[in-house]
Amino acid sequence: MLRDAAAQLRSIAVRVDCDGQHPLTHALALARNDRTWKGGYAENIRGALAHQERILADVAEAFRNAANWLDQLAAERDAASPGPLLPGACPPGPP
Amino acid sequence: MSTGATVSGGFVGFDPVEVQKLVVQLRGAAEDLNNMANQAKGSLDRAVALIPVNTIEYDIGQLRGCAATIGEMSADVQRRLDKFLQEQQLKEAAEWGERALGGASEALERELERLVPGRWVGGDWIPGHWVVEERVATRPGPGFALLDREMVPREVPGRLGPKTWIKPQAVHDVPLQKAGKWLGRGMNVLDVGLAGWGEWGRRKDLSGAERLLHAGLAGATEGIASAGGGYLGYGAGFAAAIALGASPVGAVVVVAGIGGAIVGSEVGKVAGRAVKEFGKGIGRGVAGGAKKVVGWFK
Repeated sequence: MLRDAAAQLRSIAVRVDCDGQHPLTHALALARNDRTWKGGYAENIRGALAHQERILADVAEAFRNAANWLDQLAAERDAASPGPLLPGACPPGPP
Repeated sequence: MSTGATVSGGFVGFDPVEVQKLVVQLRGAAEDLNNMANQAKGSLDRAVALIPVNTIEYDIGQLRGCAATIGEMSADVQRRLDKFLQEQQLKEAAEWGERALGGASEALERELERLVPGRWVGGDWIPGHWVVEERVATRPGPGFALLDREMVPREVPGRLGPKTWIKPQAVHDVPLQKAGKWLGRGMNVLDVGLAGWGEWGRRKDLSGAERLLHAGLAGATEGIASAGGGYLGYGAGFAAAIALGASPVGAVVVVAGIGGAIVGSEVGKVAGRAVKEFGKGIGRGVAGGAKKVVGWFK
């Protein structure tokens, strides 16, 4: 379950901030093109989009860190748990 | 809410089609980010069932915030674009309404006044006389013909005179034009000189000073009148040729003008002779009167 959650977070992180391809890629290309528009309003929108792009990069980084942490937790739990029982063996009793 | 002028001012030089594409992209990005935030929240909820994970709650909130901001941005751009396009349509409708109501409307007349004696093109003042003409063309439409109308400025050649626009009436060939001009001036000088010389030759009976006076009088009357007649005759011949269909910048009008100048010169000479005789009569009267006055004192 933890590994599934980590994998999903990592996949979202890739979609949020992948090199050259994220939800804002096309919008940024259009907004930054002088042929689309010019003037003060266009400059404001460009600035705002660049700010949102930076926030997305931070969010993607946080998701990756969380995914790594979940993977680490899953590994620690696996190491702490006993191995599978052999056929015919009795489970360990209470101390 | 911003006013129409502010909205238009925001879009200084823009392509409405590209801006509409941008709106679609922004809207799609906002939806994508919102979906991603929901997926991240789902993953987090599943992990929380096993361990207390809340470290990315803040980041999921950031993602939702991004989606909301970009969604608002998209809506704002769309609103401004709609307003701008609506203004354009209203402006065009008003212009067409004016034209349809009054033929050459007041707006068009103002435009015509503004275009004299020059116009602004790409930030440069182009001197000249311009008229705005309406061009109408038909093209096939959905079940009917559509009329395409456009207003096209056309330059009228010429130059600005003291009060009015003077259209050019000159030959294209500049050397020929200059030669004609100097020939005309030469003829005028010759007219004056010949008139004076003729009178000088005719009045051998007079003494030097008196003979010179007669020659000068003949030059000033016959000669100048002949030159003036030639000048007016040139204009009359030129105008007559144009009235008969000749090109105002062709050689035909120059030839017609020279013909008119010859006739005009002769007519002027006759008129000048009459003036000279009249002047002589006055001169004789004045001279006789002066002699009488002198006689009284003697």
